[in-house]
Amino acid sequence: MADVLVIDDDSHIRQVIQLALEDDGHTVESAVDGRTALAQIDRRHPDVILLDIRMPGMDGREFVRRYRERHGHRAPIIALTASQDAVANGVSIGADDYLAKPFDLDALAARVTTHTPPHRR
Amino acid sequence: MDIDLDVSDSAASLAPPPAGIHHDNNRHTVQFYDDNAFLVDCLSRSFATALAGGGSVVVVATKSHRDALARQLVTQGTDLDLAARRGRYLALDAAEALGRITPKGQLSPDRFIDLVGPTIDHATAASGPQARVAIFGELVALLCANGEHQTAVLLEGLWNHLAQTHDFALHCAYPMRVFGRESDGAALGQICAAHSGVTPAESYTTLIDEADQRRTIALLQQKAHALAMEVEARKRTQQVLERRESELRAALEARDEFLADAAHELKTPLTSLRAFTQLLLRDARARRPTAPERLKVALEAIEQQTGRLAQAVTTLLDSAVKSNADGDTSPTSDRRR
Repeated sequence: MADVLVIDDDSHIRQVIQLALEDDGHTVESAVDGRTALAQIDRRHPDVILLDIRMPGMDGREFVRRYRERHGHRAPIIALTASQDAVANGVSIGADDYLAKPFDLDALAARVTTHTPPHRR
Repeated sequence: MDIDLDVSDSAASLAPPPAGIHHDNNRHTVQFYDDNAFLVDCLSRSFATALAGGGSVVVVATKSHRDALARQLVTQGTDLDLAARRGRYLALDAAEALGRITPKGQLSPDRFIDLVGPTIDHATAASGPQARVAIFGELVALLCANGEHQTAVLLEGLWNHLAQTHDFALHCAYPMRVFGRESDGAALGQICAAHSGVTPAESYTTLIDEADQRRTIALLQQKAHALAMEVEARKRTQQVLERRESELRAALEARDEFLADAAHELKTPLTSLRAFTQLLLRDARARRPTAPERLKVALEAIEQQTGRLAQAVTTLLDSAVKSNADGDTSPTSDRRR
C-alpha cells in the first residue's frame, strides 16, 4: 500500500480523500499548500502525490516546478483540476496524470493504485 | 555609320529619340513606365538609332522584354542577327545576371564589375570609332520587384562607379508598380538622385503641350494630397481598430478568468458532496455500519458544501442578471467571487 500525500486548500476534500484511501489501506498525509507540502516531503517522501492546482500561497504549478527541481520524478504527481480543460491544465503544469473534479472515489482509488510503485502494491 | 546595318530606310531611323533617352548628354538615365509596350517602343527607337550610328547595344533584361525588343528592332528594319554576330548587340538575361552578382543573396561589387566590365569592353571594341555603347539595364527593376529597393540603390551606385572607367550610356527602367507602397517613396528619390536624367512614366511624358503638362502636374498634386489624407485617415482607423482589438482581447481574458473562477467555485463543493456521498454509499453497499463520527463528518461536510454551492449559484445568477441589465456581455471582477 502507498504513502499518499494530498495537497489541497479545501479541508473537506483533503478529509474525504484521506478517509477513502485509508479505507483501501493506504497511508495518507495532507498539506494545505505547496510550501507546507515541500516541507513535509523533506521529512517523509510519499509514493504518490495528489495535487490541487488552484491554491492560495504556493499553487500547484509552482509546487510541481520546485518538486521537480529538488526531487525530479521520484514520486508521480496526479493533478486534481476543476478547470474546464482538465487535460490541458493537468499536462501544462507538468503533472504525470490528472483527475478532473468532481471525481469518483473509485476513479481516484484506481489512479492511486496505478501510480503506486510495484514493490509498494 | 556601320555599312553592314541597313536601317536607312526604316521609319525607326527617322524617328526622333524618345523622351528620356539622350545618350550623348546623359550617361545614366532612368525611365519610369506603366506599360511594357511603351518601354519597348522607346528602347527600340533609341537602339535602332544607336546601331545605325555604328554603336553597340547591351541589353540586360527579362526574357519578355528582350524578345519584344528584338522583334520590334527587326520589324523596324534592323539586321539584328548581323549586329549580334559582329558583337554589337549583346543580350543577357537579367535574372541570370542578377543571380551571378548576388551570391548568397548579397550584392557583390566585384562580381558585378567582373560580369559587366568585360561585356562593355567587348561592345566598345565592336563599336565604330565615334560611337558610345548604349546599355539597357533591368537588374535594378528586378531587385525592386523583389522588394529589395535599397540593393537597387546600391547597384545604381555601382553602375556610376563603373562609368568612371568605362564609356557607356546606361538607360534604366522601372515599372511604376514596384513603388506601390508609401514607404517606397524614399527609395524612388534615391534612385532618381543616382541618375543624370529622369523621365516620368508615359502618363506624363506623352503629353506634348506644356499647358497639358501643367494641368497634369496640378492633378497629380491633388492626387498626392488626397492620398496623403487618405493614408492619415487609414492610420487613424488602424489605431482605433488596434485599440478595439486590445479591448476585445482584455474582455476575452476577463471572460476566461471568470469561467475559471466559476468552475472552481462550483466544482470544489461538488467534489466534496460527491465524494462524501460515495463514501457513505460504499459503507451501505458493503452492509457495514458507518461509525457515528464518520457519519457526522460526512453529513456536516455535505451540509456545508450544499450551502456553499447554493451561494455560488446565487452569485453567478446575480452577476448574469446584472450583466444583462448593464447591457454588458463581459464579466468584470466585481461580479467574481
